[in-house]
Amino acid sequence: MKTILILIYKDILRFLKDKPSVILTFVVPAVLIMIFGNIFSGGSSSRGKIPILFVNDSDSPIAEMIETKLDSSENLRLVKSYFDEDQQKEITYDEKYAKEIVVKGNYSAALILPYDFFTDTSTAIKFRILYDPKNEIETSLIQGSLQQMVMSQLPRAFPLLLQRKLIAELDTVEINKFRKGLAEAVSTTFDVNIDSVLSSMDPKRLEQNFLSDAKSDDSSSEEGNIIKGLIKFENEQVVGEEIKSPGVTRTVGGWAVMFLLFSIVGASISLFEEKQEGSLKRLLCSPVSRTQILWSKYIYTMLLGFFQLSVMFLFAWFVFDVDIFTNLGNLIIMIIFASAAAVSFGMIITAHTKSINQANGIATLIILIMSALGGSWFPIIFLPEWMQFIAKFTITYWSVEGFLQVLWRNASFTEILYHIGALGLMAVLANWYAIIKFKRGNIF
Amino acid sequence: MINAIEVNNLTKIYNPKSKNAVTALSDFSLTVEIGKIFGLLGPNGAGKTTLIKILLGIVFQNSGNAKILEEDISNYKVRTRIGYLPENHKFPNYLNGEDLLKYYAKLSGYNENDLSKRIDELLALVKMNKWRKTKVKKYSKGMLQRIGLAQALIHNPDLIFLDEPTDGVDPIGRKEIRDILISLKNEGKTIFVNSHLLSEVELISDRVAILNNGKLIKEGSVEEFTTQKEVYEVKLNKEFDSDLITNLLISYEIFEFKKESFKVKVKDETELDKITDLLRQHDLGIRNLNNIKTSLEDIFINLINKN
Repeated sequence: MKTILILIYKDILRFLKDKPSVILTFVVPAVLIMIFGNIFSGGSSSRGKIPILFVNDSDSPIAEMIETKLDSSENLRLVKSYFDEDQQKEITYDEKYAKEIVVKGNYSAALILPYDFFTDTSTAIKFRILYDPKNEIETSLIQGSLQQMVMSQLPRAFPLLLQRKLIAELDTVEINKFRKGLAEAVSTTFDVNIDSVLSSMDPKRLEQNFLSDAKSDDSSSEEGNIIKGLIKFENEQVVGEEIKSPGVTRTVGGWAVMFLLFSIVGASISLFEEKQEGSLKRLLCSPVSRTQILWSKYIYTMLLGFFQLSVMFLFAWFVFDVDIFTNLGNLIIMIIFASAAAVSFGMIITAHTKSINQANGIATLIILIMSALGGSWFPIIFLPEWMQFIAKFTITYWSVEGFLQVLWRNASFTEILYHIGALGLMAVLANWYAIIKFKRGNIF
Repeated sequence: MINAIEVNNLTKIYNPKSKNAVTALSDFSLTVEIGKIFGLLGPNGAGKTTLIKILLGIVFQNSGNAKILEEDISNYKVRTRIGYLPENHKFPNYLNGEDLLKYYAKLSGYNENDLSKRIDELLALVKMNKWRKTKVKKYSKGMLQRIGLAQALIHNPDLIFLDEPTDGVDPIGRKEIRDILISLKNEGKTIFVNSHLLSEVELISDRVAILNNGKLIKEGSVEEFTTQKEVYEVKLNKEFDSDLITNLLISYEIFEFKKESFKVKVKDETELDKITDLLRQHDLGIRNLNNIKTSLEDIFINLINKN
């Protein structure tokens, strides 16, 4: 037993001395649990609200009431206006401009309450949703939240809408006859005043009742189900309808970037391997400058990244029919910048660590965090706002968004300038810093 | 005279701002003449490897300066004229011997058209021709040393740094390597050897420096190191008589008396002449008079212990 205890003690010491293992065992799971916990614990307190454009073209008080209810939604944040630089004032979105914005990819959806949302003659309440399903989960959540809100708020409209529908299909005389007959039957059966029954069936009274009931937040799911057919959701997909494999097109960039980071970091930290095996020492005493060694490593790793991403996209085209050729030029530009940024990340990891194990441990931790925050695994819209803010400092975020722009939205060069600019800036800063560290003797 | 290496007041401190700062070299100066074999000796941790690393641009000094072949060491282009065989080296193991030499020749800036001929010559010199197409990963330690020596010489350098060149090589191989180094010296090359095998260094070096705790303890020719000028062994043609013994013991520092020989420590050669005169007066013939040498290893151990 004593021998076993000694051996166990030896293993514990060995584990504790191996910092990368400690990081991978405890820190990585803790960080990932925190991120996933923030997503799946639900509620606006932990998750950021999804911003959607909102246009209210209706003058119906019901539309106003719906807008008020949506303003207090736990899941959605209505964006109703924008600041116009020329006019120096806030301008309310209209449907046309809202559609343009969704097509550009700045927002995933726009909810339009059209002018005929609920008129005096409406037989159904009409909503229009313009959406960009660049992310399926996000789109489902937006639509689900809207429908849930509408369904829970409008059940009392059922009698009113039913009457209107009958009026539309029959005529007023017939409806009045029907209403009178029904009132007499109710009055006789339940021994109530016929005038009060007739009054309760008055369309205006029904509308007032509906508004006051809706404000009191009293709802019934059964009524919600009945009313379903009386509410019209006009969904219009404004982007990506022609895409053959929307699912893979949406996700291929995110996964590709994550694997790119892993392989590139592996290649970058091969300097450690060369140091360990002694070939770096021989290289350093050759008539080769450190800058030449670093640039050769940088260019080699970047080429590796370029080919890896190219192969991944070709595979997605070959197997899943993802269209990579329509916007090939911009895709190549994105691949180059994503590879450059990934290589710089690898260089900075190498410059800041002292052994291959340490580099691997830290790189794995950062890559997993960047993948979770940056949108490789799920839309960052589900993250709390502070995490979404941090995400914008990751290579993953700009790469995923850039590939999405190119593949999903068929974006032009100017439309991906922000993305390649951010990646380029990250690459330059990280590289500059890494080269300074290397020149001062780190790793060598 | 042109110096192959000039080191002036080099100081190297690892982690200088840390409480665990280690001084590897302290105000170290050294000169190596061109066309000589120079042996650098010192116990583990003395600073030998740090000195070579600084000279080859692998690490940077904190202060001081150094020149190689009259060029400042910060000029990496001077390394086109330097060959280097690292200790415990590992070459890209996916290459075979021939490709390895091609790779290092190109890396070292060897632009001659006769590279194939040069490779043939060197592989023959280090007796590796038979394994030129064998992958490096299959080489034994001795073979790796041989191919390592070849790669250090591939670009015909003027100055060659060899870190433990005979490590892992059998006695016959060691002799062959020694012969190669001597022939290189005869071609006018300068060779800087760092080795723990003091007997090897003693056999080939013209000059030797001993380094300890980052400081130069002693530097000189191998002769200067190994010859104890004041001690002689005197062998006679017959036994001493007792009077002579008494005379010698009174007047001189005599030790290790045997029947027909003794050792004596003299102040100078005049004193030695007086002793030989005395012996002749007693009708004793001198069969042999030897200046006593001690091995470099003995000197090294004594110096390090004293230091």
